[in-house]
Amino acid sequence: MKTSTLHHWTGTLALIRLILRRDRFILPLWIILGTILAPGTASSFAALYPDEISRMMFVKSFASNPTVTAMLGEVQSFSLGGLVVWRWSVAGIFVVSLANILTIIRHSRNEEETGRAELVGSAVVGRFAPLSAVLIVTLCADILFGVIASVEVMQFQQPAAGSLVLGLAVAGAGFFFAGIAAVADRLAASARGARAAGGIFIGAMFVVSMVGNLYPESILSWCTPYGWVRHTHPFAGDDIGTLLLFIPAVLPLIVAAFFLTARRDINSGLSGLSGFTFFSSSRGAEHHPFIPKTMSWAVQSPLALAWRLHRTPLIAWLVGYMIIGGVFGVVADVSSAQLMKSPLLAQAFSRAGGTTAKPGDLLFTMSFMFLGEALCLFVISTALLLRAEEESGRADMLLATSVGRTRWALSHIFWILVGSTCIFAGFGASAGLSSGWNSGDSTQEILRLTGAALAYLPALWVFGGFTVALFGLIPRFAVGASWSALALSFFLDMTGEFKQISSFLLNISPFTHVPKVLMGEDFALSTAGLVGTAILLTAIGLVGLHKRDVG
Amino acid sequence: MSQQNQAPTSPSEYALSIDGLTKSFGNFRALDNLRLSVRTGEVHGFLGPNGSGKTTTIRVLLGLLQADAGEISLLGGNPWRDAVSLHRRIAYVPGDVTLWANLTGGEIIDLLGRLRGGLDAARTSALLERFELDPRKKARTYSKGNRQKVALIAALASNAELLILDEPTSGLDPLMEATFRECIADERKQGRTVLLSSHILGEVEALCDRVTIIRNGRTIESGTLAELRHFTRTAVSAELHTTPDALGSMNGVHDIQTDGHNVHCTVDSAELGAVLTYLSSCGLQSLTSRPPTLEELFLRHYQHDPSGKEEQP
Repeated sequence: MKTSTLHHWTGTLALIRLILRRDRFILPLWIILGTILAPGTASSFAALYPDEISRMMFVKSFASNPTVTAMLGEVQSFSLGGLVVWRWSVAGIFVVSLANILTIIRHSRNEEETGRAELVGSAVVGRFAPLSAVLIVTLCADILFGVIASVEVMQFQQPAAGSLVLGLAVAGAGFFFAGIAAVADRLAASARGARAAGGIFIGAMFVVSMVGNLYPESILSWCTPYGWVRHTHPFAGDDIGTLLLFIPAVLPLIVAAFFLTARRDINSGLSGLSGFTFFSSSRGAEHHPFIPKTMSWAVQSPLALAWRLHRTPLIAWLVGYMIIGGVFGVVADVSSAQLMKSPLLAQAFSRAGGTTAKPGDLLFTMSFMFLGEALCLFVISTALLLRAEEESGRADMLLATSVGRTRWALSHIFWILVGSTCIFAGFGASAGLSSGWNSGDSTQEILRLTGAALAYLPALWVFGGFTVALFGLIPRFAVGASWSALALSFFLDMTGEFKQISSFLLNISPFTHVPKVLMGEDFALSTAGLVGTAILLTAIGLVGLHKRDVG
Repeated sequence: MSQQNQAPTSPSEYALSIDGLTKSFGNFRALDNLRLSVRTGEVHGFLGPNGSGKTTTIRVLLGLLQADAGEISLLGGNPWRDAVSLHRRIAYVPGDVTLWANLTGGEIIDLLGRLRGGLDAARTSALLERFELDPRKKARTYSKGNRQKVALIAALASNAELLILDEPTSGLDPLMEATFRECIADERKQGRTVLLSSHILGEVEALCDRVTIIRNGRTIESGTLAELRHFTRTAVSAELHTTPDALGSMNGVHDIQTDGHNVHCTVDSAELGAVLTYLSSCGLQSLTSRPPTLEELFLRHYQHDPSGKEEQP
């Protein structure tokens, strides 16, 4: 029995070596970027609040605001380590979860889409080997990540046990997302679809964890990896039992992924599963017999073609963000009600927020930032489709017709603009609808929040423009460089609020320049600057594309 | 849709002409002083082993790559500078066709046709029938051959003056290959110019008016098949009464294989008369001689020097 199933794993070791060879730069980069935030946070707190009294003061003044609590949870220990847990764990989980999702899909579905998996699969390689190989690599990378992070925290004279619990808990959360990605990878219609599903899942988990943070006694605080990390109580009891919780959480996902692998055709999602033929996409095609004259409404321009290529992820992001917006509206409503119970906090808040701000607005302002960065995934992957079209040779076919390079590139850039606007406006509108539902002023809230959300778009477009510029100038590095830029910006925004980093460095991130409209900041100048930067970068990319070789 | 029945003498004798084309990728010199000229209205075969630079040349012609040096004239324009306007008059079929997975074949044919400045609906339907392609299926379900058909139909149904076909029959079954040959023969009658890069020598022999053979980015032969044959050897097999001892010492005789009284050899065209006279003197019983096939011609150019160093003038 054993010998008859083991052959499904033949070749795993060779594939592990292949993955390590291919990811020899990006994997260490992810680990460094994610872990360096931990000592960064620790050194900031050590400098700003050297003793326990000052740390308590800080927590009392800032950290007990319900919107901050919603984002980061409650502070569990006033030691330096405790503050690192409080401040770093969420950021750390973001970085590892993103790294896990992208790594898994890069080496499984993406390989199938490019046809390389068939080449590999035709060799002496078992059915489960590709998935096993990438899962093993991500698991090892996650553990390495956790150990490095904990060693870094130990450098600040923190207990080894707490540091290790923290590092491993964050690593466990990351690997949980590897499991999610493995399942999404099997079910989605494409690699891009799987990435989008992973991104939306990160967001959705975070939303649930926000509610859980506001109600720590509720079951919701146990429903997300963010919550599990918090429940391990690093430096505040070191609950190793909770750490073991990750095993039953991840195991079903991995079993499901292998279960699906055993039953699906290569490079197919739900439609390729036996018993799911209902979802088969080729069924609908039967109803459109080819008669050239009736095709006039169909795909007849590069713009229409680009819409066909971008529409599925665009609609998925839109739906996902509208759901998240609805939940955020409710959370804002609840947390502002809590805030109002404490007059002292309300007073402090109105000082920070100016005159026009409403209690939930700090939450919205923070979530715009976070969701804006997440939406950069859509913006960058949409822009990078240009590169994918070029590499696959499909661009050649178009460019050999009367379509010029600029027109071709603009047909995709157009959908970045329209897509990001619709998705973020959808988020603002749905947040406004649900946050104003109780008080009955939904219409006003929709306009106010949609407007504030749209102020973030120029920052997203800067990333779009940057990706286009890379594509035009250094196409071979466009994929790696654009994702690294997003990671860097994410890193800067995370460390930025401690004012430890010089403002020069901080200014690199486009998000630093977004006016916080809800906090009463003015629109005009910085927005114009961001829009100008985005246009300039796009123009550079288009000129570069015009001058360089294609393919 | 026949613009010209007879190849026009003026205004442009050549649909495309390339002289001294050089293109490097880093240190690798992909094209090295390449020459290629295609007369208006002819079907021109473009031959060369794998990696010899055929596709790179075509990509330069399409304005996708910028030439490092050389003079290129394509339909009277510059392929890099005038790409968009030239592309209205060109249809291209890549050697390795990848399509948009979620579009149907019909949608893709329609799109490419429109972007080339028009698609003949009647001809499209006729071609779909000839090539037996179901255009309602999503491109992700097509095999390599069917993907190739999508690109071929889109190109053949367009009104382009010049067809640039990069190994267009790779992946087609023999029946479809025959259909393709018929289509190209039709195109020639219509006066369309075709640049046909191919490995299938039978195809080139059957279809092409002139051929250009390249190796390592250089042109090594160019001309009509008759011209090329003139410079090469004829295969001769003879059955004799006596052993042809002096054959080995004669000028222009190569590859002698003797098996008793049977002899096989190849003979330079210029020496053929002298050789036949000698063979007659040896008591000729039977004789077959045959001009070199394109395949032999082709192999001669590539087998002599597998290392790729240039040995010819």
